[in-house]
Amino acid sequence: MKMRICCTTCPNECELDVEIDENKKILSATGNKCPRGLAFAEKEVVDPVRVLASTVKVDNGAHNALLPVRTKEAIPLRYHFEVMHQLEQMEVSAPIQMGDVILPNVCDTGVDVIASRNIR
Amino acid sequence: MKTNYDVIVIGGGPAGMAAAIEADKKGAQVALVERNEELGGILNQCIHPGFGLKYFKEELTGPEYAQRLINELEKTKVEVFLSSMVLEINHLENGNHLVSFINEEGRLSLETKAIVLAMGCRERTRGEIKIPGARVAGVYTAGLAQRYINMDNLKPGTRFVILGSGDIGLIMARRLSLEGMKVEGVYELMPYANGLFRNIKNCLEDFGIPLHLSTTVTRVIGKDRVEAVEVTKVDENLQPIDGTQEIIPCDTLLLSIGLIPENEISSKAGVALNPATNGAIVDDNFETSVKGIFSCGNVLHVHDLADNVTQEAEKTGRNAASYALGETKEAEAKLQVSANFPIGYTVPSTTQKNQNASIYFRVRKPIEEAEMVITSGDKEIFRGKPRSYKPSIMECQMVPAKLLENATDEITLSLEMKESA
Ligand SMILES: Cc1cc2nc3c(=O)[nH]c(=O)nc-3n(C[C@H](O)[C@H](O)[C@H](O)COP(=O)(O)OP(=O)(O)OC[C@H]3O[C@@H](n4cnc5c(N)ncnc54)[C@H](O)[C@@H]3O)c2cc1C
Ligand code: SF4
Repeated sequence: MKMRICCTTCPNECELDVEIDENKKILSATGNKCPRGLAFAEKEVVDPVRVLASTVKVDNGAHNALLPVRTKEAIPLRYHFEVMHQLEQMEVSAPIQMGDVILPNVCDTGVDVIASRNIR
Repeated sequence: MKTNYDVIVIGGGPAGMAAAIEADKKGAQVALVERNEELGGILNQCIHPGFGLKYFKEELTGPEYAQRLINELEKTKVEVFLSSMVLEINHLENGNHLVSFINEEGRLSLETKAIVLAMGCRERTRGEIKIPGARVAGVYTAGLAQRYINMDNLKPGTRFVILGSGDIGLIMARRLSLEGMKVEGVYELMPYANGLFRNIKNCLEDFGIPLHLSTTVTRVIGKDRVEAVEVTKVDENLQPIDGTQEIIPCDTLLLSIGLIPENEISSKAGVALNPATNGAIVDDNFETSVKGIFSCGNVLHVHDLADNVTQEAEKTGRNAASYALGETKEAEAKLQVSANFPIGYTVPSTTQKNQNASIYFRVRKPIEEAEMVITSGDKEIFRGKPRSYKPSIMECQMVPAKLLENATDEITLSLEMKESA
């Protein structure tokens, strides 16, 4: 099977054309300007990971009803809806600092959800 | 209260903040005026990652990007006026300018030697593309919907159709899907997508949202609220093809059909605009046609990356400070910069012979392979390697001063297409 993927490891954002077999092994890859693109592709075809960004309700922010948050690192895409569900149930209180951990170790990925900004 | 400044920056997005920080570093007395109650501009509602890879060397969300600049700004002596909307700029006899704005305290006017315009963009609306049909609730620009969902905790609808494949529309398609809302599809008039490939992949393909190219919304249907839209395929002249109409039930139509620089204040102040960008005509110092008024960021031309905005604004802030502090040298040998189709425009419009030039431009259609050729009169002074160009990406062509030595009084950028084999 042929796939077109986008390496997001660095700002070049190379578009790779890869061919994989039925075991999701890469047979060929073109378009990557460096070997890191191949490593990205190997992960991407088996279990794609992305940073998830969303919001959490703030119960007392002066101007802000919502706190923007994100996973500190990319987590498997297949967990995104589960994390969304957990974030929906939450409410946080100001003051909040950028980088504060809002939800630790989501879905046992070892990755925390952190605040994207300060709220006074 | 202080009423006299070296540099006044209008707008507190990344452009305004970066310009103010750099002008302050050069020793200028700087004020920044922002109409919202907080700094950050459009970044505050762009909660997704994808910012800062070039400038901060790590991937940040919009609010993080803003917060970093806010933290930097707080270390400076820049005076920030929030919830303050600039109404007009007037010119004084001494060559200075008067910036007038309103806030809770009433109307204020500050005198300044230099101004940096950094007001960003607004979104094009339904009226600007004239979609026929019912005038009903449920038609929003994508950026407004983004603000509702990401900042105000409001849900503008449940079942969406998105018109336009620009990045804002793509980002919203993902956001709506994650929030449990249904996105029926993204429809694009042109035969190619307008957004970054990364966003097509991560915002549409990840969620199984179809992208329909060469298709547009031809009618909005509904009584009080949108109940459906009619979509129609278009031919190569972008005209609807009769018989290809399809009715898509939905309750909300999001428009992601482009941005327009907010230059009402600028043109009232006599700043000449470039019809190709709707932004100011600037020289290589980012100075407009009005002496002492500079422009940068999205109000100058639409940027897809905040990093480019920040870098451009830093230069602009330094130049505005130099001007105000009397350190600017008159340009010696100006070169007019122009471009041939499919290059849509260039920023700046003029550059100088004895300096390296960075010329920003955008192509109007995707180009598989072409060589950048720069000519002056009938002399070719530069030829680049063949490569592809996309309308979704703002390009920067560097021209070393050495090459410009051979130029007359103008240079022209062209793309020479390679015959596809
Ligand atoms: C949905 C979306 C997604 C994006 N995604 C990315 C991405 O993934 N990566 C990336 O790098 N870039 C992205 N960008 C682009 C980037 O965010 C913008 O290019 C950048 O923020 C523009 O900065 P700016 O300061 O020029 O304008 P803005 O951020 O719009 O700031 C302009 C400021 O001026 C103020 N203002 C306007 N008029 C007045 C007035 N009369 N008086 C006082 N204040 C005024 C406004 O309130 C505003 O705060 C995205 C943009 C959008 C809209
Ligand atoms: S392949 Fe290499 S150069 Fe290309 S985006 Fe990935 S890391 Fe960057």
